[in-house]
Amino acid sequence: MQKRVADTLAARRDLLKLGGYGLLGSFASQTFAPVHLRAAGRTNPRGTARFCILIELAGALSHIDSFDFKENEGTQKDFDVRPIKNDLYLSHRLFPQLSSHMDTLSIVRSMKSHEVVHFRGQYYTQAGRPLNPAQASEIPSVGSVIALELENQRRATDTFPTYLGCNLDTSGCGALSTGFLPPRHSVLDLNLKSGAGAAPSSAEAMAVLAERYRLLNELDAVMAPARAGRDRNFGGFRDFQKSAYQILGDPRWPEAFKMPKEEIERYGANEVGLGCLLARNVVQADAGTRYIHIVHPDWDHHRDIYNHAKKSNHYIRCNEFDRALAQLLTDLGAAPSPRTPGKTLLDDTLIVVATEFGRTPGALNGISGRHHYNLAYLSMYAGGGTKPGRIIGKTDAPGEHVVDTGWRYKKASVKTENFYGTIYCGLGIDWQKEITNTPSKRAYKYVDNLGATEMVIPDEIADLFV
Amino acid sequence: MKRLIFFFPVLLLAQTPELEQAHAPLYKPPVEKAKSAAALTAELAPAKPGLRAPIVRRNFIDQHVFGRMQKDGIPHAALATDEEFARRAWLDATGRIPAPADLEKFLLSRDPQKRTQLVDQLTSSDAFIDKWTYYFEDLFRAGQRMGSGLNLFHYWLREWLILDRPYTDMVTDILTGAGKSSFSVPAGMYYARDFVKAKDDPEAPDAHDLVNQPDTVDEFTVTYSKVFLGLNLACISCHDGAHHLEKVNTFLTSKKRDEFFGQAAFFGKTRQIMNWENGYQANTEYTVDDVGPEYNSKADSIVRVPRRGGDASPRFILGGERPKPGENSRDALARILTGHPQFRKAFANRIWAELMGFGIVEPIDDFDLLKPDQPSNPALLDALAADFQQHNHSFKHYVQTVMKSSAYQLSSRFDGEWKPEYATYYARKYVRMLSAPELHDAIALATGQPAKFSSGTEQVGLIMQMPEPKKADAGVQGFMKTFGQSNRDDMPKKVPPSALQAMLMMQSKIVTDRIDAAKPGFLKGLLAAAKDDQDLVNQIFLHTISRRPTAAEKAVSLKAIQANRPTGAANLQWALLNSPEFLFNY
Repeated sequence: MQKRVADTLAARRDLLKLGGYGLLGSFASQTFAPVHLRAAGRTNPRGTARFCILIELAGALSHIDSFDFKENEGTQKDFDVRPIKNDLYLSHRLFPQLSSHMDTLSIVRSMKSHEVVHFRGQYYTQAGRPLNPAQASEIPSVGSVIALELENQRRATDTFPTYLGCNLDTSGCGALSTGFLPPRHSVLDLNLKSGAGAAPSSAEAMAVLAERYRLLNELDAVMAPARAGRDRNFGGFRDFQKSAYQILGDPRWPEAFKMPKEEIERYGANEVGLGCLLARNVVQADAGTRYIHIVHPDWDHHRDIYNHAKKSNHYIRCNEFDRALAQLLTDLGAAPSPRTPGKTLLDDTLIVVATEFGRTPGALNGISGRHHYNLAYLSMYAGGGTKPGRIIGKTDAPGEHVVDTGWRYKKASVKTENFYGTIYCGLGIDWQKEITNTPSKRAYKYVDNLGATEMVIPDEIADLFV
Repeated sequence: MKRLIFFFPVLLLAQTPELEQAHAPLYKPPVEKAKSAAALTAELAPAKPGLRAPIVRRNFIDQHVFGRMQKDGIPHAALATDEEFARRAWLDATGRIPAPADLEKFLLSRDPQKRTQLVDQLTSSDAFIDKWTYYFEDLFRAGQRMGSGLNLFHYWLREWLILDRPYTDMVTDILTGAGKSSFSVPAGMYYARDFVKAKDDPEAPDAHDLVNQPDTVDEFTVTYSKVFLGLNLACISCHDGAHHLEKVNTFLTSKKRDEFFGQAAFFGKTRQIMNWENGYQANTEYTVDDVGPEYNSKADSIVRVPRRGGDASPRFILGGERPKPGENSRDALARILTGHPQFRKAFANRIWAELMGFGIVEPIDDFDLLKPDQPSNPALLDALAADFQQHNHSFKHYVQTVMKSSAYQLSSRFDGEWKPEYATYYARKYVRMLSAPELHDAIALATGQPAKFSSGTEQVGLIMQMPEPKKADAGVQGFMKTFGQSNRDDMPKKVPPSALQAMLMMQSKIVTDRIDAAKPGFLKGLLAAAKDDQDLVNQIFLHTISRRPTAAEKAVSLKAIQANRPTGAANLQWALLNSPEFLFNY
């Protein structure tokens, strides 16, 4: 018995060999042996979406004031709540623009989490599984797994990284590493607000860069003797320089960052606005990026959640998010798909809105805010083959408990694992695949049924697709 | 020491034969990190056949390092050239690349003692204080959570280094700080900045119990045990080691959760009282005292497995020593901890790893005290720890001792066929990438264009002079974060290389603005003052990669400059800034 238990445990010495050891470890893992994939084949990877944009509202959106609206003592007088359909209501004050997109958006109101702490919740949202400190250094972000899976679909002309991040560094857990996967699947995380866009500003700047890069190559060729016989391809970092230059040298890259003033105003000059604008451009360019994770931070309003006098409150955050998503839906919905006549870019792009948990329903707390609440919260979906306007699941009158899960599992709430199942499904990836040659020798299932506190049903939310 | 010798055999006897048999195949020599370090170095400076130079054994370190190689028949690299050594020593001691004038002075000197003298000179410089203050601020997470206490903590750390007070004294201060943390006792900040709140904002201002509860103490205990003992107690802070850690850490497998409680209990009565102003917690000032209730092993937990009781009387996790009658438990902790051999070994190993590429024990914050093949060179680690103790726990002396050894001065070029097994012998220098602050500052220094950071009332030009790197502008912060700068909320960690790093080095303003020959800086001055194109090229190489160009490199560089002098010069410096000889410490 003891021996069997020991067999399943992580061998930490091996774990720490890759991933978390930065430069040294990662250079070694450039020659990581091909991963073994053992497909379970019980899934239906629909592959209806070419792209996926995940918008993470980091800090926790209040579910009962937003898309699972419940009237209570905390409801503000200026909310201007309007009925949408059936039991769905929406505050027009908080979501003026999205109010006209409610036929497009699908909402899953029956989510439940075991997490109540931001760091762990945001880790769960990025890794698709609960934090396990013993294994964490080998666990890749879901985006890196997607980059691995979609690598052989990259065309010769593709230069953009498969996995793009916007403001991941503002998330509580930062941008997660590639874990045991090779570093080339890592996210390219851009912080747009701080201006670290890493894009050359103009054609002239591009020409200057080209000339410099040429000199770098020329010099590198003759520096070889001074490096004791090292050849031009000095491995790891040189490879990154090459892929960096490929990206920078592609005229489509600075194009994606071209943001005229009217567009910035339309989307909003904030993390989610700029992120969605960039995402739209990147999807239009179709130059290699398939998965974009945008973080909209600073939703954690324990105090003064609806105090207009505060620099940060739910009004501001909801409006920012509302404008950005509405414009994204509009623009993608208006752009024809170059791949399928009669379809739009929105049909090609699965948009998912995630948050780590909800906020306490009922009256506001003693400091006029809402605290964390994990027993009921929501996620949203649009495009990418999902049916529009689906409302899945229902909570009780105060919004405290899930009373109807809304999908085929009457006793199981929807979990983060399921929204990743949905994402993998949309992108056409079999999410019950396993990678068996991990450093810890514990099989990495793309969506694991071993949850933090209970077994998890690792299905996609099929009710969104059919 | 005696207690330890008694301790180990007792534990070994307690292992069953089956357990030992099960463990044996799981243990591999600790070469993983060493292997990858060696692999990277081999790629950058591959082996070539040639002579093996005789090495002078300068101190006890060399006796252990070269003695072990001799015994096991392991070949090693030759000594680094003066240029290699100079740049390396400057970076390791001061975090800066050498100024060409200082570099040339060293290179031209014929004094046979010049390397030793350089080490003394560099470790006695202001830059040494800057760099290592910054290093310890990353390690102690001296960030914005310290609020207004940060500046004081910064100067308190600098003072420790300037005066070369014993390391044991500094650690004692840091663990026993009490009083109003930001004003009277900066050392109190190390604990006070760490807290786990029951709710993120207590609604009752006087609800200290929401802040001061065992989870806070547990977190801090795990943290300081990693930093000062090299032990990772995170796992046993939630459960016994048995049935969990067999494949992870043999020593901790035998530990129980209540032994962790015993270690945590040294801080059991310590409270941090946050100040409140206008209904807001003023997260910038704390009062730290020791009048709280004892550690409660049945207390609720927010981030850990529920506590189900157990002996929570304060006792040291290694050896079980307790406070003397009437002794304040934190005073006892400081006394026992700083006097323990594992404390010295953990320190010696950590700084050795910093200077040599990886530790004699890896990971440096996760010793397995029962693993048979850990440390890779036990005699060396013991000798380093002993030497540290004998020299009054002087940090400066320790750094000097390591840097003065021939082992430190080996080249990254290796003559002969390199084998991965050679790694733990330190048979060659292992290259590492410049750290985030080193990189930023090196770019500023190479181009002669310091930054303009405001640090309180001062203006400083280098990031390593800043108490809090987050006060730099967003562009610099983004750059630094990409290259792995710690956010000082979490423990420092290494980040993997990425295309974004390459992109930033190629066209971030931090680089491109500085090589603009129109801006006042090194290039502008040089274009005006250089004697001729040859001199221009030489100076650009010296300023950027700390050596003169070879003939072939000169030819390529001259061609670039002759096409268009200012543009060519800027392009040349850009190319050098993006070459591995700038980006790496080799």
